[in-house]
Amino acid sequence: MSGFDFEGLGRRLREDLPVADPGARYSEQRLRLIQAVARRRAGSVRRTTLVMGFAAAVAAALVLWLGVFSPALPGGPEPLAFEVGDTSEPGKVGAYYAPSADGTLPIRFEDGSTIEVAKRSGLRVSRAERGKTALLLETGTASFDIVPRPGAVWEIAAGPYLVQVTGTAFALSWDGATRTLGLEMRSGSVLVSGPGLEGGHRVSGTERFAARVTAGRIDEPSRAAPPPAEVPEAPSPPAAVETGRAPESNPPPHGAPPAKNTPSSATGAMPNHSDRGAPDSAQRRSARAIVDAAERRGIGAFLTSASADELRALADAARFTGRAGLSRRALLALRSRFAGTRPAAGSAFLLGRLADDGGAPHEAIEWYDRELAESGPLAAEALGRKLIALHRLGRTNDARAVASDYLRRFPDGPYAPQARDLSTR
Amino acid sequence: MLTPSTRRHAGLTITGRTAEPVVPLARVGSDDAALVEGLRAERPQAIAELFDRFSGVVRTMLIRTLGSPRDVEDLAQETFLVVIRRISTLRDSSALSSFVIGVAIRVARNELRKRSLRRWVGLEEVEQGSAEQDPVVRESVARVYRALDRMDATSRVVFVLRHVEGLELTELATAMDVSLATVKRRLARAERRFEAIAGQDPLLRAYIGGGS
Repeated sequence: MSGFDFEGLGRRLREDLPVADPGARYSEQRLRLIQAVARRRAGSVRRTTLVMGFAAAVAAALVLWLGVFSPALPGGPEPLAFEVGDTSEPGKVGAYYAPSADGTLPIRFEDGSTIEVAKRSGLRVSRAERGKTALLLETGTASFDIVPRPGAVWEIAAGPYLVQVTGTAFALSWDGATRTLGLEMRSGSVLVSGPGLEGGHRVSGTERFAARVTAGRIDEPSRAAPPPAEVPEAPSPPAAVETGRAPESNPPPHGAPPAKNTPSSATGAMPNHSDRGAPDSAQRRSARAIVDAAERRGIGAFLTSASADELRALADAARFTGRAGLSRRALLALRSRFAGTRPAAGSAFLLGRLADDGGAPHEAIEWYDRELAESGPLAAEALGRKLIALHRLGRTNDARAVASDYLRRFPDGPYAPQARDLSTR
Repeated sequence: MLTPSTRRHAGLTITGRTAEPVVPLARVGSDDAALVEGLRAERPQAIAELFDRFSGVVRTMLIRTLGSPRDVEDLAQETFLVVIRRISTLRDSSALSSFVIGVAIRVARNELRKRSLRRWVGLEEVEQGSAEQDPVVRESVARVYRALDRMDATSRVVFVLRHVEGLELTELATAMDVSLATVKRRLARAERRFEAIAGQDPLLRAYIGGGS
């Protein structure tokens, strides 16, 4: 028999160990679990889609047969129930939901989809059915995490714009005073339609998008497609939405002439490329011309003989025209031959973004760390992108640490919302 | 859980902003059978109820087994995700509690093994404890867990669950999916090991004896 008082040891440890009180994080943790299961389920649905194709065809035939030969099914469309707030109040279709002054308001749907209405924002659930859910963002910002389901349609109206969603995560804002729509994608894709967007604009990946209606005319919507617009001369905070410019718009190549028909950014330092999809835009022609010129000289010779400005222009032009490999080579040459010069500033961050976009997050993080170590002009963006990359890699604790660091150093930075979101999880 | 009848009842005139309110989310029954059924269907309400019923138990168990609240939220999430993923293997819904505890034990044991490996390669940080705690108490608790760190993960889990969590031997056997005799044998081995390590430490002896 042991001479130790194990019972006494247990009693003391129970008194002296920290209590397991999640406190204010309780609801977040509960919601996090529900969302994680929904995401896993959605992933499972996608994986089994092909396998189930044949079965689905058989089922469709059966449904068709029932539709033709059986009596109509009773009842209307099947509702999609939802709960509101931390107290899980049952939601009501048509009700207006806004958070109290000091917090956000979660809305959880039966299918695992969630919405978080931000401070000073208001949203109405105008329709909630399993086949279709319609929301009206009356003012402010809301974050959406929609679980994809076959046949389910989600629509969000914001001012005169309509955002159609399948399965995706994003933040949407509507400022009635400035008539500005802001959209920040986190994953998936949406289709935005409205004034000036009659054909619909698809926004996907981690793009940001902004459109504004002003005094009887419609500003050309601005969108950012990868690679984004982080350039040393004009790091762009989200507030740039108010100028009609997307927070991460794509810059024209360094040294290329600005387009005559596009608005400038708030700083005026870099012209805005507001329509990446237009094949004949001045920016695109300029970018192609730069790449062509470099190719005529021979890329190898160009990289070893061009000036710092020329290398930077080639890097930007190549990135702009989707030549990621060439852009990377130019940036590496720039760093190797002209380290510490102004054209080389921010090159580590841009290499990180290229790696990120190329699906190499570990390499991206290394480059972001270099940008930070060099105290480069895009350190804030580098730290923000690093936390996103860590989060995507599932390194939640590391991402949280970076988020805390980010909020301490750049409390109003462009990635502050994501950092706050992560650090409070 | 929405039953077909409530759906029909609820799904009538939902048009625009003036629609009738939907029927409130019906709660999953508080009995284990209904909860297990809801978890098998991965219904959000059932998941919420699982969290409500067991998060306190799971978190406490993880903290006491690991010795600190570090990462406990992630580990609790992992526990619940495994519970939901493996719920189809639970034959007897009345054994839900043991099932959840069993999963938490496995998660804790895996975490202990990972930490042990990290410690071995010098990557594991030493726990500092709470700054508000009495320094002697903090040091004593740290020494208890340093002693536990020198035990294998299974012995440690058995020891903590029996002596700190206060689980009965039969509960332990069920949760660990072993026989009562095996639990007794493991516990005796863990106690001997702990006594051998802690017996040489006067501070620990004083702590265990009630002094500080």
